Amino acid sequence: MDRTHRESDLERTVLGPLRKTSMQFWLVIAVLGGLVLMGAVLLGRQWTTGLGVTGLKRPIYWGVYISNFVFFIGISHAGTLISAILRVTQAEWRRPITRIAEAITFFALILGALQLWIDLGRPDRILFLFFFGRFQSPLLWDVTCVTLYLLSSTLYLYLPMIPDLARLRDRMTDAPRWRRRIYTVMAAGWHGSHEQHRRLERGISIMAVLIIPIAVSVHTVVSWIFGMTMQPMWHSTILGPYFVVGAIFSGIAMLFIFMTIVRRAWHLERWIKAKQYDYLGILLLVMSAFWGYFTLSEYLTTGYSSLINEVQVLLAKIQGEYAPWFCAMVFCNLILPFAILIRRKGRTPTGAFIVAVGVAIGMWIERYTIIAPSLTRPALMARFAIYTPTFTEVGLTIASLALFALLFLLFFKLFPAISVWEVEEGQAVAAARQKAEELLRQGQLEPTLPTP
Amino acid sequence: MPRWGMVIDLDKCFACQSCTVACRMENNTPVAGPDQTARGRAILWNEVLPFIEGEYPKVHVQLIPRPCQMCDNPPCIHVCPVKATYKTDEGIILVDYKRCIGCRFCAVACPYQVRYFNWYVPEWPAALKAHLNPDPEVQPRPRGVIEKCTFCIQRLRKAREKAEAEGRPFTATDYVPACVQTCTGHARYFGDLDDPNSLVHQLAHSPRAFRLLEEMGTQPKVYYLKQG
Amino acid sequence: MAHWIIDATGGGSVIVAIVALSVLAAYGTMLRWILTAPWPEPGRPQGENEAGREQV
Repeated sequence: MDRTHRESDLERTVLGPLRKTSMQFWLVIAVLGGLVLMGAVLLGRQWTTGLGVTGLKRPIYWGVYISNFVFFIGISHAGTLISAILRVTQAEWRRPITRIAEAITFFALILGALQLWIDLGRPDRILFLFFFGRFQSPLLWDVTCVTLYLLSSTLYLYLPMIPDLARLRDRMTDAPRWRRRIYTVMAAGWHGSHEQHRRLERGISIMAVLIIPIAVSVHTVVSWIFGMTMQPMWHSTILGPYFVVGAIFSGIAMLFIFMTIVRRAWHLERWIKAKQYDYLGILLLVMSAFWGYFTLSEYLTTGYSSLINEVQVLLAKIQGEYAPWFCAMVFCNLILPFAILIRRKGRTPTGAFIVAVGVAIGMWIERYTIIAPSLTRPALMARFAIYTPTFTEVGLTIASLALFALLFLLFFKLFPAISVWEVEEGQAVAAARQKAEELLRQGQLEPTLPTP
Repeated sequence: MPRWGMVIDLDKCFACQSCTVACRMENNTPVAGPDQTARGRAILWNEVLPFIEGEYPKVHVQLIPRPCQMCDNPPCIHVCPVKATYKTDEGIILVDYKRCIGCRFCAVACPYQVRYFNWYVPEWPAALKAHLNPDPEVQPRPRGVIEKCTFCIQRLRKAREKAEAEGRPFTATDYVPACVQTCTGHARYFGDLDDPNSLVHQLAHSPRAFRLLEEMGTQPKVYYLKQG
Repeated sequence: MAHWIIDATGGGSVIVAIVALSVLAAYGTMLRWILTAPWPEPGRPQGENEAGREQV
């Protein structure tokens, strides 16, 4: 083992948080753990007494839990978009944030699947989905696609981690035994030869291309749970792409939130820089515009018709009891991003963080206002129903978010938040490019491309 | 093979709710209590829905008794992920309580809201509990599963057994659900829709006949005869 | 046709199982292919991460 190695600046800052843990970190972990514990108690109560503890009723059979399911599956698109699309298009600025994005995908998917389980009336029969699955049911499409996505994104998170894991195995010699064992096992004998690197890059490229259609399929089939029924304002072809756009939108917002937290807490300001906030801010703005376009298309098409069942759901959203939710949604998803991110000065970490929190809330509301209003006003109903979520549902939502953050923070206490080898590679690429430009300027190098 | 169907004459129905009560006693649906009922948790396989149109003083109330519509093209069955709900050869839609995972997808997909969920362990006041129907088909359902009107499938089985014991062939007129038997105004008719000589077949083809949300293409086997 | 295939394969469980297993097998193969890449000079000890890296 190479013990004489002098750590680079990058290694020191990135591996620092893995070595030393502040009091504040444990305090945050304790608070999150407490919330998760509260959720466990609430869930235990729900499982022993029944779904009666929720605000669900006839005909609002789905509510907060299914909204959470769609929300978590939505934010899992952070990893796909940032990491896969930017990798495929070889955007250099992606390098410091891919790891965070991929981890969001992984944990969000786990939390999303958990929401479906929480929602089941018979959680003990969850495996029936695999034993007696009926492929004609859109729910089974979801099970298939989410499983496939989870497998793929696990590999997609793991592959780019291998060289870093080998580095941890070699450097973190002062870490406790169990941690060193984890690093050794997970590094899987990585030696970093030229050929191995070549194959790894190849594997990552394949996964990056593969995971984009899988991710699109996942959110499309999530929307089809609703779209395949005949409920008013669900039975629409726009739902698939609308959900995909919303997913990417909320995914970028979640990436902003977590990269800002990690950047502050892990002191990575030198690596996650203004450039990332600038470019990602523009992406968020673009997705906000897309989202607004889809929302307008959906609502205008419905509103222009006189199909009474559809229109009464629309009216519930724009002037009925869901109007406050609707207004909040439009404010968070459209007005807030444009007000702050449109100017370059606004695309700072603080500005982006504020917008991202707004968009995360707004997109949760969007899921909720798609699911609940349609169910309160079904086609054949003598009286409208009113749905008020209970403490159990709100509590489990908070607990789920806490569990998500907890898993995320613990993960990055164990593994580096920035892909060290990829950033180093980026530095090497930049240095080589600079050198080439210099040589070119001095006339020592012939340009291979004709100058325009 | 019979294709069971029902016709409800809205001219004869005066919303006495005896169908609802008979259904409850026949099928052991639990008593939700006033508090849970107000929260929309009551389980009423047969429900009399009041549709109120217009405002005072020009109010029109249309009362529609609504059992399961027993669609020939049932949206609930299409979406079930575990084949817990299915259609028998005679067109009756049933739920396998041992298979249902409680995802409530069928309840969301049903445009008639005929599917009910067991939010808690079912309960009865002591006096009622002593008089539960002992038929195996209507044993109290467990918590967390969907249940619904079955056209009193247990009565069909018993009618078949009776015909067999008496050594005669089973005919469609041997069997009616509890709501049809009890209907005070004789507003409900039940029988084989495929038999051109049956009363339900003829009434279903009456000019007064209509079906709920016919435009959705669910092809219900419950027909209504228009009022007035 | 599609209905027939789905029904013949146990309501699709078999399809899901085949898809999941083949995906797992494919991913496993890829991972193996990456991790068993040869070391350029045979006989050198494993675990020299940096030495390998410098050749990139």
